[in-house]
Amino acid sequence: MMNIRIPLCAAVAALAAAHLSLSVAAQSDFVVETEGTIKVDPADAAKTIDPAEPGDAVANPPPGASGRILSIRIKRVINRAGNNPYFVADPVENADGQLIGDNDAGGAGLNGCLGSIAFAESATGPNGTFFAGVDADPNTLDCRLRNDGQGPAIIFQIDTAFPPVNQVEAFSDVLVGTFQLVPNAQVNFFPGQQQTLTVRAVTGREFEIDVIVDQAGAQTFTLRVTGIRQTA
Amino acid sequence: MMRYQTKTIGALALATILLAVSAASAVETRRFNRIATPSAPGGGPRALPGEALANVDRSALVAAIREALLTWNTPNADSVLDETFYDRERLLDNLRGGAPLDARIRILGVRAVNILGQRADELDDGRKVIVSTAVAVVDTQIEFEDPTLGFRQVRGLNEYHLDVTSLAPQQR
Repeated sequence: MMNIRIPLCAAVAALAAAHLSLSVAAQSDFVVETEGTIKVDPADAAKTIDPAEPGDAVANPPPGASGRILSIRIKRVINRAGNNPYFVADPVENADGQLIGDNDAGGAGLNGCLGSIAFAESATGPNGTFFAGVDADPNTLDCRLRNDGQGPAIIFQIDTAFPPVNQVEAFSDVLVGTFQLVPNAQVNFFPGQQQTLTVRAVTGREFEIDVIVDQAGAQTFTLRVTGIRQTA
Repeated sequence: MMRYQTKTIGALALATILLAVSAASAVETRRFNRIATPSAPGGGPRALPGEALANVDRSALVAAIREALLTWNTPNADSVLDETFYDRERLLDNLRGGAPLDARIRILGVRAVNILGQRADELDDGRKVIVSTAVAVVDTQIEFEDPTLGFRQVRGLNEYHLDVTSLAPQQR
């Protein structure tokens, strides 16, 4: 009995090893080694753009041949360094080669603030005071909306109890001190009015934000960001 | 007397068997119910048999990536942007309206290219294709003439997530 078991175990082990090596071989065909950084010759920049580069001259397989690439579609671009040609807000020159405000920098970028958020009543302030806010990172401009009373970039406050009732007051959080409105003054408006506010960070980054506040009830407000773009 | 004994033994044996069967049905012989799964709609994407990835020629893929990226800031820029690209129309608007007309992209190098997964599909004309999800790291440079600053080169290294559609190998 033992004489039979050992060869069987060996055979099973051999089959498993062969299967594993085949799987690895199949996968390794698709892991292409890094070619390394190509240094840019300033003189080269003036040349006309030529898609044919040495080593890449191998054409697509002929029409009808298996493996022939029919189409290629870009689904997402993640920036690693420098300019992102598919950066939505400014595809040509985002940040002079420095990565800022990129929607794919690992964070949400400015686009993280596109959308809406409901105003929430202040937990500590007077009754009938509602808050929504724009929180942005002064370095990366990763942005998000919040309604917990915080908003280093812009705080939107509505007072429903005292006049001017339902007026929206927009201001930067001077206690945090990382952003300020341009010009540096509080902006007042009422629900339904579209506003474009400019905010500048202590890092020099600057962005414009288009907002509107919707009112659905006596104490139901929604902050809606319809546009946001980096301007400096 | 003997007949009674035989009958008694037979009845006991029968009772034992019945008890054993009832106990067995309660414990051992469970019914195997099929787990309901939705059937794939005809003509839709299907998983490839097995897990092996079909071969996609790297040089052809690199050439295709170069060709796709060179549509940047051209009227064909939209042809390579997937419908799922976030804020696609805004990007195209900014390219059409905000980019200098002479701004072009130079592909400085295509670095690592990895195929992450594949699925089989069929085109409207009946051709069977493989759609590969690929990630390519590409070194690019935007070049344009700035009216005040002169010739500008804006370089960037980015990771492109792509859907590559290629003809499937012939069925044997």
